[in-house]
Amino acid sequence: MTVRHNVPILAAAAVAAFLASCGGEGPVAQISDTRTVESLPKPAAPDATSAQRFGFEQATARPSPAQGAPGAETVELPFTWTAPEGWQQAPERPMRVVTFTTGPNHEAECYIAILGSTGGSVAANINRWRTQMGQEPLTGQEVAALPVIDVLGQPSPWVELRGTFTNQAGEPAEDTLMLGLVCPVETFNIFVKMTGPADLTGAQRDKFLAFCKSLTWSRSANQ
Amino acid sequence: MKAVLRTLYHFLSSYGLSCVLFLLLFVLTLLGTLEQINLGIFDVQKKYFASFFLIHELFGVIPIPLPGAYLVMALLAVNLTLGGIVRARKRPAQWGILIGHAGILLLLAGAAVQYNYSVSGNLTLYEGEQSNEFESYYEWELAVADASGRGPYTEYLIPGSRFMDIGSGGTRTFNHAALPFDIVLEGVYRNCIPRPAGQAGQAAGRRVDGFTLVGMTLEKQAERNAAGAYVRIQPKNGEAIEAILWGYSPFPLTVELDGKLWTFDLRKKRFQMPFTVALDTFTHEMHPGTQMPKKFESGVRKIENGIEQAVTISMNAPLRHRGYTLYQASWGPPDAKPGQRLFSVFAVVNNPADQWPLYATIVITAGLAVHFVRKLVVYLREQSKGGA
Repeated sequence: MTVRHNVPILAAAAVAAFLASCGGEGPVAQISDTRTVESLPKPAAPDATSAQRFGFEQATARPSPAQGAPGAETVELPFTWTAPEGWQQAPERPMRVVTFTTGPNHEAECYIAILGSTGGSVAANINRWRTQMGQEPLTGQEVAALPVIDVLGQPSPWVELRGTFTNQAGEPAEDTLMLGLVCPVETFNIFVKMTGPADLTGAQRDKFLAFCKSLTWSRSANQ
Repeated sequence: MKAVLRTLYHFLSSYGLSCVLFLLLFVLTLLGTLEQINLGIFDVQKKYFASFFLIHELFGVIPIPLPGAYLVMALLAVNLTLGGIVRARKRPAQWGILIGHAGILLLLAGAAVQYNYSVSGNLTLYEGEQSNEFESYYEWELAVADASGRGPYTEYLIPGSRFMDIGSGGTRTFNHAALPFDIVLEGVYRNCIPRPAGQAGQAAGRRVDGFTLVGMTLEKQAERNAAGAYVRIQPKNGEAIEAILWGYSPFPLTVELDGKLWTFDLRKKRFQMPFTVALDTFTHEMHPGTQMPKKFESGVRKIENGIEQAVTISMNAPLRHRGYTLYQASWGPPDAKPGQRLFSVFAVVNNPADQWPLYATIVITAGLAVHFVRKLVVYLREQSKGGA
């Protein structure tokens, strides 16, 4: 008897192995794993709303005696700011100094970020924002002609871009307005950027500019 | 029946099967490598190398069924055992080959043990912190706990492998005799973000507490995916509570039931180590004028049964203890200012077979050495006979 004669048996064995590998759970399942821990990794925040749990508003966690939240310490920055009325500070996010949201459902957000020399030039960052809004990059001369306001004693160009905003996940948000400012300081750039629905963000334009102008060198930075 | 078994034995130990299996491994490696244009390495490994069967879409259109590398390597182990050891001649001339085959089998066994029993993840500690837990890079879990008291706490765990297959349109109910409620997962996303419902450019979807989950394409770097799910907490007696769980929430969902505070935490899977690691100091040094790290190391204390031992973990000097290996992986914050508190990240691996590839290589080398030395001796003998 040759292999050829037993092909049906071998094929049946292969199909059985395939079916055995396709097992899944039914609609109701039992929890079988438990463990005991001295402290829970994330602190319980009994009154936290969905907006607070997802980082759109700040929440207060119940103090955990056993574990501090990593990254919870504050770093002294060389400048301060004044948040406009109606803006709510959101929890800390990576790469951002501070984030605010505004609007009935926190649709618009504004944040400050700092990048060193590796973060690219003023023109490169403004053109990156333009790309996010589906617009063509500007030449160096065009960037130099942008409107400027005084922030931290530096002439800082700012842009107002309206269009379809595509975020890092590739999701488009139509009719979005982006307000962005770059404040070039000696060794780093400070970025202030606001995005959100065009009508809502447009109504925040004056507050955005006031917020940018409110940046002030802290006393320790001048010492 | 005997004839069938004999045929099966001949088939499984045949050279022909070896050739087909090696060819399949080549094809799977090639296709798996090319597929990384579209998928991240984690998903490619899962689809091509950790599977029994798969469907490869040639040019993205033509479906081709293929055996997965897991099945191919399992068959290769059987083929090598039967054909390369059981069926092979046991003459002295074959000893080297037999030893070499044994080494390859050990290598395959090591791969199987690693795949089935190893766990890996990372542990992040700020200076002054300590922990005996690390979290997975890719795997998720839903942990439910009664957080009313001050601890210790019992966590009821549902591994992601038991609910990630539900998908955005499926439902599965989980229960436990000690829990006064059922947990109904009604739609699970491997990568998503919660958004306030009704934002510009957002398709209408399910709304819970003013938010909706927006599914996103999977990240090529799978550790960046953020899982999310719609959940319904159904008390044994009482009204159901609907909520959204999201893997990157800084706080768990907290629900008060019958005077108890229950937390529902969708998070990266956590593993406990049999010892604690405390980070005392972290030091780093850059190459002058660059952002390239020259040297970074962590001064840690390994704490076990009340006994402390100081250890330095650096880039090429991991901490190995009780089957766990802690490598210096990275650190932060990247833009830290002088005097700012730093954190250190350790890659943690617990692989019972981590030394097996070394042993296998030694065995294979020994087998080849035996074989080639014997060939050389035979050749020299024949030369000397010819010369005489």
